[in-house]
Amino acid sequence: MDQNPGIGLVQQAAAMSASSAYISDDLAAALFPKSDIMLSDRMLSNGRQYLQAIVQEIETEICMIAAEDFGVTHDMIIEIGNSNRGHSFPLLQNAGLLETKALLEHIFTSVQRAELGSRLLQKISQADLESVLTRHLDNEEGAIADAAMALLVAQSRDNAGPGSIHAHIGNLSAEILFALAWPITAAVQKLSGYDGPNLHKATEKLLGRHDEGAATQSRAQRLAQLVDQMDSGENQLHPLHDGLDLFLARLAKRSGLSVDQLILFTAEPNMMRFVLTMRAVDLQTDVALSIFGVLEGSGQLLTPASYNEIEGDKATELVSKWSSNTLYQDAQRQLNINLPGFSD
Amino acid sequence: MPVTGNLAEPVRGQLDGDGRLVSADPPLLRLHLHSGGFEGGPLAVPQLSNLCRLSRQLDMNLSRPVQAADDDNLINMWVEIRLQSGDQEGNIAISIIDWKETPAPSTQSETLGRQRDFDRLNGRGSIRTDASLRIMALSLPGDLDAVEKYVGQSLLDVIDFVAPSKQTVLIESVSERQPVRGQHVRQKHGKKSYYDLSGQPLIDNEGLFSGYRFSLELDQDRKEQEKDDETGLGLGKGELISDSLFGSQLGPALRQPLGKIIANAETIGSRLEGPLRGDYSDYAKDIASAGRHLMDLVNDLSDLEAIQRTSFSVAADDIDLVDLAHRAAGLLAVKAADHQIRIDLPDKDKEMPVKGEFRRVLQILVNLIGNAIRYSPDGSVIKLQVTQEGEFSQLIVRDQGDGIAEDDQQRIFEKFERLGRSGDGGSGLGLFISRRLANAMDGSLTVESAVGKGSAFKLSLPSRAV
Repeated sequence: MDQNPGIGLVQQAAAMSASSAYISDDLAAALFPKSDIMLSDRMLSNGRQYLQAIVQEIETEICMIAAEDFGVTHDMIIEIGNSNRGHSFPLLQNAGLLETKALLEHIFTSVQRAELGSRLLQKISQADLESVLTRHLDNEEGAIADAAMALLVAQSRDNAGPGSIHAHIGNLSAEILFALAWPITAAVQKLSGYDGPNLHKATEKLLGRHDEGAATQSRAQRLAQLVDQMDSGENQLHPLHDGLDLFLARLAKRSGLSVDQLILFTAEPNMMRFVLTMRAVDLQTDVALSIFGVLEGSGQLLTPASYNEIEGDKATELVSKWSSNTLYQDAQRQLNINLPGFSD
Repeated sequence: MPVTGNLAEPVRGQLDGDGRLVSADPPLLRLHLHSGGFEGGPLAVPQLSNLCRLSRQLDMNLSRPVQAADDDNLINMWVEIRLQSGDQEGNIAISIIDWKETPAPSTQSETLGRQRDFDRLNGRGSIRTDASLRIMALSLPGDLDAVEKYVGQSLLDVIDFVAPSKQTVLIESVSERQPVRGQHVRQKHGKKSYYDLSGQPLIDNEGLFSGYRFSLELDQDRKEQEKDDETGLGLGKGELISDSLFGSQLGPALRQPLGKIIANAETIGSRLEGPLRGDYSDYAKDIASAGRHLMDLVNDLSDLEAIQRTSFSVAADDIDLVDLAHRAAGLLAVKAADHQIRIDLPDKDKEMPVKGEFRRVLQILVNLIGNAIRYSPDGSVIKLQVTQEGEFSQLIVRDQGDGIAEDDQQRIFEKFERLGRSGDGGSGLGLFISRRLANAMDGSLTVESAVGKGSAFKLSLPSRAV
């Protein structure tokens, strides 16, 4: 007997009514954005793909560990472990489990980093970019040479072509992986109907063996820490000279800000806070202008006059304020929200 | 010089299940002890213990850069936190693979201390208030009682405003976080001295307004006037001018407008009120610099007049020559750095107690070191040494300048003697005043020098038993 087509339609209609209830939320977010940052369609698409890829990689990994190390023989678990398609993503999405602030900020940072990477590649080729890093391989200090090698290896793993992001568990910070792994475990459990303890153990094992020190940003941070301590004149700060990761890590170290903050600054209109940060760490006018030219994407110009007009002391003061505890800053902003004149 | 850890060997430590540091390599143990920890106690370095806590909470290994402060050093570390398994289950292994120590940049408190020295040099008092104008710290020259009475009180409760100044002007400036300048005030209680009050808003490291720092300059003009009123024996105008031209009349009359010129020119030069063309800002800085030269000259002339008065006397404070040498060198550190000159100071732990007036000895030393900087070649060294001979203690300021010919060595202590030099900002009064001040404190100021071999100025003051 033919399946009654009416059931499918009824289900779809019911689902539609549930989802359409949120139309005002979607429209409000699109009509009244709360930040000044423009999110292009490419960034949104990249962000979605990145998140899907990460979720898929984590679920595959958990299922493979469960099957190989803990002898789980459940069909669905084995299928997910061998699949190249994401399973838990729609479930997590519908449940709103992917909307945590930390996760969304991580996605934004990742897509903006990819944007910056593609802007940089318009000025210099990938091969040239790699060769600038190789100069550290000959450093007489062993730790620097090691750190540079580690960074090069991590970067070669990430090369997925300009503008796109290579999603890799190894590049996630401990907090983000932790925040994703447990909801994914719950989703896989629900999808598969498997209720043994081994899925949990597999997740614990995945988390336990994660080495965030192997992440590209982490390796760049370590090299930045070592290179800046050398303090030699040739260590000029410039993305064309250091590559994006090392440049951001060095600027972060000098300014006391985090790399994620710097990436956010580059997405803001006219990169205003980024320019102020360059002024605060006393970058020379021509260097700052050149960095601005390389990283800015909307054709804006930074003139020597406007850069020099920024008071160094004021810039330092503001940058030091931005580098303070983010919870404190957020709280302060919310407390002052109705008091004009109490902002930056 | 940065201190480098042995990069080949990581610095290691181990925490037990309760977070106690059960083993640690010497650098980590030292940092732990300096952070208030004890052997076998909970890990006391906040940055590291936070990481360990996070690692335990997530049940994950972490690798992160960490910066910690130890005494005057900043330590940059690359820390790997590893959760142990098997027998060691529950323990945490800390491995620090890059351990680098560098001297920490100077802090704001040093700048404030330096500013206080400037104020004391100029005979000014200072008051530091919080954002609601409550007095947190103060120093008023010659009025020790004020310190214990005023701290904690509102500034407005301890001073009265004297016409033409008004309290509302201060309140308005404070509410707009603007600098306050040239307000005439009088103590409500105690000595009831008159002061000129100026203040700058303070911004803390978070960029927020945190109070004011006020300078109080004794208003001699009003004091004299009041004395005359009280005794009813006011001198005729002509007599005053002939008796004390600078101290009571011209000095204050010149200082006030000059102060305004300098302050306004500095405000314009630093573009506090808004953007300005680059060359105009430079002109403003030139005006401020010329104003400061004039102000120095007025100060010198006032001092000259003061020390020539028969009634001139100095206080016999208990002071330490080594401490004063450090303070004076601190005041001139920027000027010396501009010329890449290094000031070699006696060891801070050394003591050379003497009798003399704090402010006047500081004035002499600033003059001697300032001269040494002015007449030394760039990149040279100025050496300050202390010695003791009999009942006198000496501080010697030795430079590597051109030296002074023997015939000129007495002439330089004469009034307006510049040995033919001009255009270097000197008035030719500094050494004359310094020697007179040294003599007034029962000491002496002499020079030993030879052409081409630098000069050594020796300030002797009576030693004091500790």
